[in-house]
Amino acid sequence: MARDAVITGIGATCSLGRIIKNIYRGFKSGKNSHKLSPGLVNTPFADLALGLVTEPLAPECEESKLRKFMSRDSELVFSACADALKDSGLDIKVYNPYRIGLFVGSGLASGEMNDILPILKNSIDKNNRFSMKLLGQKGIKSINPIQTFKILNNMPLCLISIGFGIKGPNLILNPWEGQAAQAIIEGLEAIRNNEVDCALVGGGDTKVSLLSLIFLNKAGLLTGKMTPGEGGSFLVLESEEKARRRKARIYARIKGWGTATDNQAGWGYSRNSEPVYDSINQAMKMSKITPDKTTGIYSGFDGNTAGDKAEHSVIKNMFKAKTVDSAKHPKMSAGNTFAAAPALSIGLASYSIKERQARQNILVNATGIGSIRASFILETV
Amino acid sequence: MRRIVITGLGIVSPIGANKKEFFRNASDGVSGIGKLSLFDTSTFDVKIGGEVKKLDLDALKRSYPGIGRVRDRKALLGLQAVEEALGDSGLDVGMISKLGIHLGIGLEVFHSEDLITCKGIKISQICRTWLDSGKSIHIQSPLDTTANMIINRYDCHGPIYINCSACAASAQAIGHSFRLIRSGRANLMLAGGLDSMLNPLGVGGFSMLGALTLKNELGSKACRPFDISRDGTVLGEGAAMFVIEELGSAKSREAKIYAEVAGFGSTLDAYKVSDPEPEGEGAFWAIKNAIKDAGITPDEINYINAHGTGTPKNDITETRAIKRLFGKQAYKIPVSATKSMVGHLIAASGAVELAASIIPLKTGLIPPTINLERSDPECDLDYVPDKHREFKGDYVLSNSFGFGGQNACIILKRYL
Repeated sequence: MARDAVITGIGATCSLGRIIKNIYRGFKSGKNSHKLSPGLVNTPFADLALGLVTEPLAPECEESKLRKFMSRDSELVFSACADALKDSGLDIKVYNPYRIGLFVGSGLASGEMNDILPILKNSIDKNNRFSMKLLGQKGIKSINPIQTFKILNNMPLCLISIGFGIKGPNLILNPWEGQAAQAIIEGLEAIRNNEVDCALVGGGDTKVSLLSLIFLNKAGLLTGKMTPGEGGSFLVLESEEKARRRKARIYARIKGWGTATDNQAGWGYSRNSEPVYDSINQAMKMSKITPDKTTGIYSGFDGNTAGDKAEHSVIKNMFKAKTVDSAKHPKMSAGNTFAAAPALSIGLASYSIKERQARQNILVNATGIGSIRASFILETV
Repeated sequence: MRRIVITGLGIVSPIGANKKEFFRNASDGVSGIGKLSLFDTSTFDVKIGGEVKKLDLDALKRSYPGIGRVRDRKALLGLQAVEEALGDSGLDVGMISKLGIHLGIGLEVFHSEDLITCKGIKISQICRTWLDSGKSIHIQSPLDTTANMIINRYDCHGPIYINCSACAASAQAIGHSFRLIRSGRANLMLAGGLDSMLNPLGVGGFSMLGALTLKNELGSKACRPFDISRDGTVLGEGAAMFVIEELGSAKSREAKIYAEVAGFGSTLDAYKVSDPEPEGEGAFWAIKNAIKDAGITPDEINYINAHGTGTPKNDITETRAIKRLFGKQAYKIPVSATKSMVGHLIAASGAVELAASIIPLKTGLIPPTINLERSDPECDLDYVPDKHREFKGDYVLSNSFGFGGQNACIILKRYL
């Protein structure tokens, strides 16, 4: 029999702060956390406001022996995972480590300009031109081998596994928000089908480094009001039965989910609203919730005109205008945290459910860059 | 429970750029390792690798008009394998549009050509060079490049997944696709892997990690899984794609069936970033879970296609995991390493090795482990040295153990 999955722990780090309670307060108050990056002074992006993480990360991350292997996105995701586990009150040893699943969403490889500079510096010839021969002779040898670990896309997942002793079914999906939402769905399905007792799901991403911004710019993605950001977010999912047995605090039940492919999106945004409709519709059907019973919406709006319009038109058609007006837009406050966005939005929605007394059914959408659209229905337990 | 079968196969490898060549050369123990020609290696410590020799760019251009802009070699390899697999499957255009896709993909490497354009080493100079360079420079090709090209060409609407899980990536992709279909979440998937690290930063980076043999002079004999003299792997490149679907659907369209996918197991070592857990604990559980998933017992496995990298640690760890799981039976199961012939294809390795695992089921021949002249005393199983061997049985196991501790094992069953 299919089992219901509930959220028993939330961890997040973004420009709004660390610890979900603080992030929620900042979000609810309409705090604008966008800042200029001191690291981008004297670059073409000096005047670009970003969603920067400025608070210290979780001590489990700051003090970890693994930190030297961590890229920025690994740090963010590791920190969020540590906070989620702490928040859940779960002694992870109560579960068989091979029955704990780990499903992570991660972004593009996150190199920093400082990683490349030594290679370049040692590969420039007397005429100030790049030389392939020098690259082989000296440039490559200037790479710190540890650097190589940092650019491996599966490291966020592997480092969490090593750091917290998680050994079960696993998957890391890349490179955009939609794929991070798919990772959450994999965790939900694993619980539903009794493949795991507990699933840690989430994602981390950073698009505030010089190289990331050059990429976004070249790909035509730095358009509209989208504010690139960074963040990590994690959820502890357990079967409702197991969570109740250990008397865990339950934030919300994830009752339904849906996902659809937008084959017009490519690397960019899409005006196509059909896949957004499909994913919401699937989630609604699965949760047996009708639009009129939906009490809130957490959108995937990020300030890009085309993407936001597509989602807006679906929400407007499916739900009442009043619901559209009251929809919440986490990325407009925290900046676009890309692969961290779905778990962050679900975390915020779950926290709001827990905070209120009245029964809630909240729709959370993951839209944005790339070809995957996803939706989740959360409800009060 | 739904039964899942493989109905289409496409392979691009250093020993054959289609499945027919690959099957023949893998069975004959042909090596695809040689001197690298894709870039000037004269000043690099590593000068050998497993290159794909026949990349049919003209055919790809006909199928994918926008491919001229794609500079990512692994995407080209992947698309060639996709075309073969879809053609082989006999699916019509309408069915292909309903395909789900899961690709295990190699790292986005920064394009070396872009480094070459830099006219200085100040950050401002580099920024300006790249920002002013028009559309030709993207710095990196996003991981979804290949998937996007496939869905554009075939107007696919099914679920699309992309994972970049190092050496376990394509086994994860295929295993996950198998589970999607079995659970009814999908009906038809294109799954596989693609990779090419045969570029200056890829070869240089792996060399700096100490993962590659520096015995360039050995050429085709350099990749030596389970041999006492092994001291590192050899990088290769390639792709393999599988069309997998529910048995009833395959039968109703009278599709050719290569094998049944019977089980999948996925675990994490949770040990170290750089080394496998020495006793093979994570590998043991991945194999055990795959066997359980297939609903069989260990004594029903008749051949193991090993991860077998030719690195000192991996081969011992894998041998230990196999011995722990199979007990005395381990010595009776033929085990061979495809990497001895093609090198380590990183993200594509699991898929290409699963293709090699089909060979015994379809032709009755077990591909050999070549270059195994003297076994490491700690690697004391039957590794099918040098020459292919006759296969008897119904079940084969393919192992993939990824850098960082991700393990993925797949069991195939002869389709009767």
